[in-house]
Amino acid sequence: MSTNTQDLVAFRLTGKRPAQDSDDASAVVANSADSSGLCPVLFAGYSDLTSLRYDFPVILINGPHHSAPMRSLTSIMNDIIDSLAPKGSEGEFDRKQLLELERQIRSYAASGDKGTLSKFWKKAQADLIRGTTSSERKALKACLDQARTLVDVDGEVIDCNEYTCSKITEHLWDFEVTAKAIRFRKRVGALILRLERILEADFQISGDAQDPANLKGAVGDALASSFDFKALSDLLKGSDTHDVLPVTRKERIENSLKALKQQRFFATSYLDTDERAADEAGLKVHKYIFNTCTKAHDAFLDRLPEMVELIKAIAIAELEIVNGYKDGFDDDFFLGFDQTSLMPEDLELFPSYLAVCCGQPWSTTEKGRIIETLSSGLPIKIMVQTDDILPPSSFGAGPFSWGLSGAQLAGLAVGLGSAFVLQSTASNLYQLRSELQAGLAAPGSALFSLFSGAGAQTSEKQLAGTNRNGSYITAAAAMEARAFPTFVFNHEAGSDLAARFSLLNNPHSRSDWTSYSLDCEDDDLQRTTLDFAFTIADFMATDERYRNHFVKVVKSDWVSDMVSVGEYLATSSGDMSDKIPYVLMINEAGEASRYVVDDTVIRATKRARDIWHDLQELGGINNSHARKRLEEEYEVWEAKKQDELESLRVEMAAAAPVSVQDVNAPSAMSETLAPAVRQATDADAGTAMPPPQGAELKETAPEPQVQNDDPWIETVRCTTCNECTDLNNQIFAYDDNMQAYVANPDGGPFRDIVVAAENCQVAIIHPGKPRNSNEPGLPDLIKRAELFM
Amino acid sequence: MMVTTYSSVTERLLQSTEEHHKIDDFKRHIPRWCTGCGNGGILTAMQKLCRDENLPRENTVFVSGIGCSSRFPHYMNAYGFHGLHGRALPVAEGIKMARPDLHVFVNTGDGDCCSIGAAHWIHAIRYNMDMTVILHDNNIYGLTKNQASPTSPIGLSTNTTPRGSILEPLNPLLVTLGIQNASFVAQTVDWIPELMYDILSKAYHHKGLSFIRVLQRCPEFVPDMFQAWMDEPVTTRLLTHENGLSVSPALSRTYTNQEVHDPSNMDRAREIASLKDQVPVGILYRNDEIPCYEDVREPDRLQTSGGVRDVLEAEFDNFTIWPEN
Ligand SMILES: Cc1ncc(C[n+]2csc(CCOP(=O)(O)OP(=O)(O)O)c2C)c(N)n1
Ligand code: SF4
Ligand code: SF4
Ligand SMILES: [Mg+2]
Repeated sequence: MSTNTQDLVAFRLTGKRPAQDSDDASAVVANSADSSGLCPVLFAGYSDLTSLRYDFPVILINGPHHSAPMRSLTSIMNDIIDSLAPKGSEGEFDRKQLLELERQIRSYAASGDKGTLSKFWKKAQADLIRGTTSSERKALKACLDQARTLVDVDGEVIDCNEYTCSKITEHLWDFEVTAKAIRFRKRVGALILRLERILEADFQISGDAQDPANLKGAVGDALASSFDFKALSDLLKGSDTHDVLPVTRKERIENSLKALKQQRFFATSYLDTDERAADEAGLKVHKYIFNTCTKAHDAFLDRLPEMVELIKAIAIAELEIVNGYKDGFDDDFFLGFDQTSLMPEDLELFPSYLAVCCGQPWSTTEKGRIIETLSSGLPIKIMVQTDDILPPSSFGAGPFSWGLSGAQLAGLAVGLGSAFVLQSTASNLYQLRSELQAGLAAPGSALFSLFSGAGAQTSEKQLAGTNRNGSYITAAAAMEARAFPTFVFNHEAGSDLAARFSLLNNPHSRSDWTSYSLDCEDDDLQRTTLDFAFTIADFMATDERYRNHFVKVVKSDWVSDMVSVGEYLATSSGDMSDKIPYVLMINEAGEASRYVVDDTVIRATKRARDIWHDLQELGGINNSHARKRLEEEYEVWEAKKQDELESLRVEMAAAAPVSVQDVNAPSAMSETLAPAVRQATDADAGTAMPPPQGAELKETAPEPQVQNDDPWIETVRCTTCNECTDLNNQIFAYDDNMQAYVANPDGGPFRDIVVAAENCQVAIIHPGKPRNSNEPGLPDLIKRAELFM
Repeated sequence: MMVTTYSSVTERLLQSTEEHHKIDDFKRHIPRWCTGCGNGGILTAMQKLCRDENLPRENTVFVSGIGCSSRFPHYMNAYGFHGLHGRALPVAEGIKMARPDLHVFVNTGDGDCCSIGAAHWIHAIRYNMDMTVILHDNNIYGLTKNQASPTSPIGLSTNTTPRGSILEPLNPLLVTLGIQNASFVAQTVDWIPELMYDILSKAYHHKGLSFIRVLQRCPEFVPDMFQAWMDEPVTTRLLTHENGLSVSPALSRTYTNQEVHDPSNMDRAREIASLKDQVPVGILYRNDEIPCYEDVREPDRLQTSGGVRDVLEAEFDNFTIWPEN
């Protein structure tokens, strides 16, 4: 082992950096200046994000009437290009201009400009036109003007930065709640209207409505002089008065109306003529977005009595409208109706609460509240933003212990099993918009644990040219490196983990790490392919604060004991103590070099991998229980098959002489087929087999019972035509389904039964034999009856 | 048909005091139809449906025009509107528009619907409002005592066609299938109660206008009209499908002529509707996706009595004849 190698092993184990030797150009170099401009190989292609078409910027679309609450700039531009610029050379000019416009808008967003799509478009269009030659100016303007007319959405343009997570979450929350408000307005507005109509009808039949002044109002001024309203009133009042509403019912309706009009949960303007009653009363509509879970939870609890009152008012209104309020019974019910009576369905009427928690660390109370809320099932959605997953204290006690790491909080929330949980990164949020929406729409609590990538200490230079603060790259890298994997746990979906938990679009989710290959040149300028895994060690190497845990090794000092971190960790057995793990980085010139990592990094990487393994198991990948069980089952199956085979052999030997091959044929098959495959084959054979004759008949209906000599009717076929019942309603009657049967065979002469059978158009009356042998004309009747046997 | 959704509290309270009706609760008066009239079987199927669906009588309304069949609302213990000849459908549409929460049924005869009310029929199908329409088709004007109707077969001798009807009869199924937005078109016969009920029940559950043509016997004036079909079960073709009829094994033994017909297949529906020598019984066509007029036209804002009064007064003011001063 060379001195250098020994130094590296020592560094790996203890973190003690090799001594610097400034004279030796080929020596291990460890000063931080050297590391500037370095980035992981994975980032090689992403030096300028503004020239890339990707998920950002995103437009948060205004107004509740769009089915999509947000769209990426690229998807909007793609639609325009598709409809405006024909494929091939014909559309090339337009396509080019539109893509250039997109690039411009993207660069405004990346440089921190704020505004809407329409504002950015205008600016970009002006900039492009200014920058073009006068000959092309007209065509350019025409192209962009026309394209502009195709954009039917507008809204704030946002890039991937420290505000992305909160903006998207709040926007989607708003989208959801606006839709709810519309439904609420419609429903409660209809209740108000119908209650008012009941009161109005009551007024119209009351004495008050017949007062001269009221009668005059009904006729109007124009003809007022032609009437004597006093006389009219006396006349009307003298006639029968109708029953007016009982006082208690009227009061109940009035109270319910008042509560409906003065509710503070939604801003409403219910009716044409009624201005907002709540406004008139000077009531402020509640707010639902808070910056801590504690505040959100408190607000929810404070408003519970108001919620109870509104729910009661709605129920009373609904009952009154169908005249279904039962005095006494319902009085008692509503008297005892309080917070404890609320059901989850009752809460679905109200907006959910949103806690946007960006500032970590949290107080102990806040931590407690988060857990309490997530286990309560209350409609409180918590967005927890992590800006930095590698704060320096990560390796000691504290943040990496539960509580301050959003990732761990999400894991804990899955364990609680009572909340919707989504974990992801800002870079991935556009892809996850429908999952986020589902979490916001789901009843009960939800946790969105999101990594913004905005707080990591990545050097500007290292991510040179990438967007403003490198949030997108950092966030995306955290997901790639399994430092902050994406998953969704929907506790309401299905009855098992397979239905509830999903690892969604984590790259290469079946493997420990994501792996890539990169085409590059070797020393002889020959093309070669570099395969590498992107681990959390690579991710840490991008962070200034961990520079001390990496040491560069120049190519001349590479030794065979050097292995990539991915390989190093993959080797579960064998002595790795003399192996030297490294990560691959490239510098500004695009040259790759190896950086050896120390034990701190290895431990952090292992830990991230173990957490990833747990997630994989939840997501049904490499499930350790299942694997173990499968092996056991396989052994049992093997043993059973061997036994069967043995007994078959014995049987065969005892029976007629059969060639050995015949006996072996099934055995060869059973030995090669795994049980699952075997079962599938059996099942296939089953479906291929024709069903037994008559199997399609749903059930075997009882044959008409063998009749004795009594008259009878095939009642189910009776068409209620009244023929028989009109003829003799003693013999024939209808059952509970209004179909005829023989109620009393002795209720009249045999003749009536025979005539009824003849008249019955569906011929379902069977007269049987006469019961009175003395009845006149029997021989003829018996003959006629025979037709209906 | 639309069912009002209540808050869970209301639901619980209403359930706890819910009344369960018997068939007798839906009966009213003794029907004054002739003995043997096919309307009786239709009435029974309807009363059974009301019982089985436990329809609240105060939220259920039967609307009819004029004819024997249009007496139907009198015999149902619910709300009813026995209207003008041919005008059952527009009345029903008005009711549904104002009160979409009601269960609306329409009873109309072949004269009422296909003759004087034909224009309303066409537009009602196109409006596709959520209601169940039963065409009681006895191929005759019954109430006015034996005049040819649009569905009377060639050769039928009646008071108005003493030498036999000479026109090809109108086929109500084909007409309905030809109108835009037809969303549920079925045919049944009054003399097979099981199928009468099954189709009625499926029509009731369909969201949109369900049109059922019922071949209805009028023993008084056309006693032989459907006799051949009744005598020969094989001339009745049952249209079975998972989205169509469910036929009991007992009935299957009598009615062996069956076709598996997917009711989403409009072309086949039209072919079936055109059959001449057989009576198709079942759901010919259904499409649950067609929007209902009352949903599409639902006003954004609620119409308060005050608001409606203001608009009306403004309109009336345009026409007021001012008294001379
Ligand atoms: C405007 C108007 N025209 C004519 C009539 C006379 N009229 C009453 S019922 C009827 C025909 C009824 O036939 P249908 O609708 O088939 O009913 P059915 O009696 O056969 O059940 C006619 C023409 C009327 N009542 N009003
Ligand atoms: S005659 Fe026949 S169809 Fe009519 S009521 Fe009697 S049994 Fe029923
Ligand atoms: S005339 Fe015909 S349709 Fe009218 S009640 Fe009599 S049998 Fe029924
Ligand atoms: Mg008729």
